Amino acid sequence: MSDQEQPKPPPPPAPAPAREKAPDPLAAEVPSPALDRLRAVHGGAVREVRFWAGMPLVEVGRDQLQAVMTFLRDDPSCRFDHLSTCFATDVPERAAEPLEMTYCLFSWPTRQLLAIKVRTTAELPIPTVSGVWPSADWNEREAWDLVGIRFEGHPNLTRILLPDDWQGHPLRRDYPLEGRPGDHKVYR
Amino acid sequence: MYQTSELEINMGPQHPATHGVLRLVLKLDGETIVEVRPVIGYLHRGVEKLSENRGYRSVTPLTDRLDYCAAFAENHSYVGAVEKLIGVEVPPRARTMRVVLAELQRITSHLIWLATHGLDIGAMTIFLYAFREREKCLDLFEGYCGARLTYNALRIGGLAQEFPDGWAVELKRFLAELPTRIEQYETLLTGNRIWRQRTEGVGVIDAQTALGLGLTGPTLRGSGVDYDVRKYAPYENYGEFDFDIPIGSKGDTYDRYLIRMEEMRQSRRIILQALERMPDGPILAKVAGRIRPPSGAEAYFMTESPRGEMSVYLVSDGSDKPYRVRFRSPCFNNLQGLPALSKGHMVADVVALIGSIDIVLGCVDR
Repeated sequence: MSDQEQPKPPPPPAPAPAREKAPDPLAAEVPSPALDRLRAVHGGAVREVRFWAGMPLVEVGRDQLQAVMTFLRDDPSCRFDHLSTCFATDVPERAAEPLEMTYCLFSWPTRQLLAIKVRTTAELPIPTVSGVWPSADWNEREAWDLVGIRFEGHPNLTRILLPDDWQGHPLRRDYPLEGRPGDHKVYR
Repeated sequence: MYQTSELEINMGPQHPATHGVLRLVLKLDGETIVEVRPVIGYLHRGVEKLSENRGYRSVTPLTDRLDYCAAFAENHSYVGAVEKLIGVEVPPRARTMRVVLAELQRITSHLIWLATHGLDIGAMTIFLYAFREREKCLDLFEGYCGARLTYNALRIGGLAQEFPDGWAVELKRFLAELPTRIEQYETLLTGNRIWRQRTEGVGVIDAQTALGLGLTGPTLRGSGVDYDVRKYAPYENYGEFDFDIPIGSKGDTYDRYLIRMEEMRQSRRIILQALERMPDGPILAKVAGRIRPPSGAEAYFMTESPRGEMSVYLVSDGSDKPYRVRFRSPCFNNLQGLPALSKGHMVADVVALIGSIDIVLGCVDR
């Protein structure tokens, strides 16, 4: 009766096999000459690389942002001449660096799409890229206005969509959808 | 003793020539513009915040309200982004039908641009003519989906319905008369001395500056580059059609006018090809009832709206609501170029320039 004495091994916890499931085909890596060049020249700045639906999502360090962006604009195999848009996201679950800035770059000559991400906190500023692409000017103002990311070296970091006397940043997760009483002056 | 000094005046927020609630703070030296500072946000409705609190399907009607002169283009951009995010293959028939509607939307939008741009500069007649044709476009849209401005015609995975019986015939009838109509408009404006004096050499911008400022669409192509998302990052089945991208040579208001006129003809060309080659088959792909993309999924979908590059960035956290939606509006970015365009011109030219960059304030402020 030795097998009765030995307790049965407990069944493996349920979530473990779920985590082992095959990666989504949409997350497959795609060839990206720009990403290869970036890794070769500014490999130290690249913190994390993911892929989704054929687009590389590259997280870079805050301090190297301007160098990376200037490189991506000027390097002959990258030539990202078009900053399509940039926007801020609040990710409170990531407590250490809850705010994230995403830059969508498109290169007309080489037809590549690349997303660059930078993480920060509400206090730590991100260096502005309005010197690299002037089109970042308003987009960064919007990121400050709606999410409250600070940009270092921005020529005119003021609110753009909301009134100047608005209190708070509405695209933060803790900001209620209907607004807060007294977040702005009501003009009658 | 006379004293001259710089004068700061407000144009807007309520002004008939600003196409909505746009305020421009003009710094003037006499009648010459020293500086223009656009003040925006009067029409901000927090669409990005609202979208985060709705299911993926319920965001589409909100996109109608961004650029209400080209609602189909905004629908298209959002729906395309969701499809990219969850990896849905749209059936070929739906793709071709989308191209037909998107190009009809381009014609509609360019007609209202032509009407108001002409009216701003003082060409009253063109307003009435262009609105006559726009009315027919709106009737066609109404015949297709029941709405004249806010269509909500697209579904994730395809379209809601087939073209109704006889609709394609009506569309072809409209397209048959369109070239003569465009010729009529051109007789009124293209060689018109007053029109040319008001537009030639006004708001000249070179391609490098325009690119840096994030200008897209006809506003960018006026400066001599053929950057069009339909050619450079083809979506739907634009790659199969034969069409030209008109470009300008001088980068002034007149060039941008000519480009939009030619784009209407090219859109007509695309629609005719699409109607000819319309494949058979389903118009809606199978998509799960509740859309829940995996956590960490992110997609960026670029389209060429009548005003420029209209793109949507979507981020998912694994729930049935988008975690973050970003609308990259062409108007917001094109308006950013206005100060550079209007420096050194007269106050009256600002009106021509606002028309020339073709903005819709619902799209600027979101």
